[in-house]
Amino acid sequence: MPTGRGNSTEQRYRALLEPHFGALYAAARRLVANPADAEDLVQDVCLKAFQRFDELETIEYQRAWLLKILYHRFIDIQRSRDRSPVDHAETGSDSADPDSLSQGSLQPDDILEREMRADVIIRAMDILGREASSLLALHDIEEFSLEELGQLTGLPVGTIKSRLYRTRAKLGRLLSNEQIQKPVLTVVGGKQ
Amino acid sequence: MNCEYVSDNIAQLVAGTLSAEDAVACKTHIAACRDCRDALHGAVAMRTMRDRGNAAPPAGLFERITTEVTRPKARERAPRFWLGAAFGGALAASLLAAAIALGILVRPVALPQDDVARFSVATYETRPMEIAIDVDRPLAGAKISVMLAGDVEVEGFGSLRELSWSDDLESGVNRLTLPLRAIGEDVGQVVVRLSHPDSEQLFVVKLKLDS
Repeated sequence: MPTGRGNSTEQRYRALLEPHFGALYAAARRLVANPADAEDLVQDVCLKAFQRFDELETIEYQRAWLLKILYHRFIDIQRSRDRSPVDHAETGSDSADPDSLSQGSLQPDDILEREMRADVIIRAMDILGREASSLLALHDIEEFSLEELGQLTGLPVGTIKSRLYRTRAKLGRLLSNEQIQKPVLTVVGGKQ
Repeated sequence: MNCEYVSDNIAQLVAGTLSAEDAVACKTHIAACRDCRDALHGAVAMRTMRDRGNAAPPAGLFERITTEVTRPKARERAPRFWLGAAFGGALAASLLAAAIALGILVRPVALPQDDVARFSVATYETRPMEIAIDVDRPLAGAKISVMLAGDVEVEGFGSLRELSWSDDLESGVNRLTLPLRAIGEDVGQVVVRLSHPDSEQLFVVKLKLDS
């Protein structure tokens, strides 16, 4: 965490973060349908960025770094919730932003199906683990190049390519697994 | 046509931007290759996530979040130390220590050096664990490290397994507060290490998962 540097640190922090803020929020909303949860996720990433500002300032691919933190944090939250006896019904398709249902050319049924599909994909990403999931997401969703991911991770491009291929295949196999397609049970009441 | 070519072009194949000739060649390979079929399935899934949109942040959100993050209260999510009483022995930094339930400091418990404190964590709530470090004289530049073993995390620090701070400890009791949360069933333990050029002290807190 930055210490002892007064307002100039905060100004530099804001200046560094602002160009990437839209990308962070958009990524969060793709993962979390509920706007309030997406804002919490973005805030977690912004706090982490502030705590590690000294490191962030020296990184070339700052947006990729921030998005990687966001995906890691999302998987952490997801895992924590998956293991909780209480289902968090405020995320996922149950709470899709009503405004989004009236946008675009998709019909409500199509949107609902896509959101349910996204829930299953997110469960599979959770199983894949945060390193593999974030690498795949940074390439396939956020469109970072192999070279940029190589710079970010310190891995050779060939290694990144083979990891992406293996992760996609594993994701595909997971999605073919009937177990993962089953809906999560929701705890609606009860007593001990 | 091979798996590498399919892998290099799978995003374009899914997006429909690959040339017709290459698309046919890829599909022919995929039809005969189980791994590439699975990879295509995975690539389509990623495309589904990508197609969930590109929402713009609400007006004022950047300002609200950056103000929240940079104000002192937000920074206090990191562990903090408070000051207190006295302590004996150079840097035998005997940890007075304390396992707490539900974030309430019940009472400082003087534990033998070789005893082990215990603390209950839960998967569905964050519980502040407080540890009192009692020193007999000010210690400038003491390093406090917290090492987590098992399915537990310090709130705000994600999956970091070791956190370290350098701090000036004042004479007396210095309290360290760690907001802990279980992320699995095997919660393990927390090891707090206080180190200084003169000495080093370890303190172990065994964790228990509240069901």
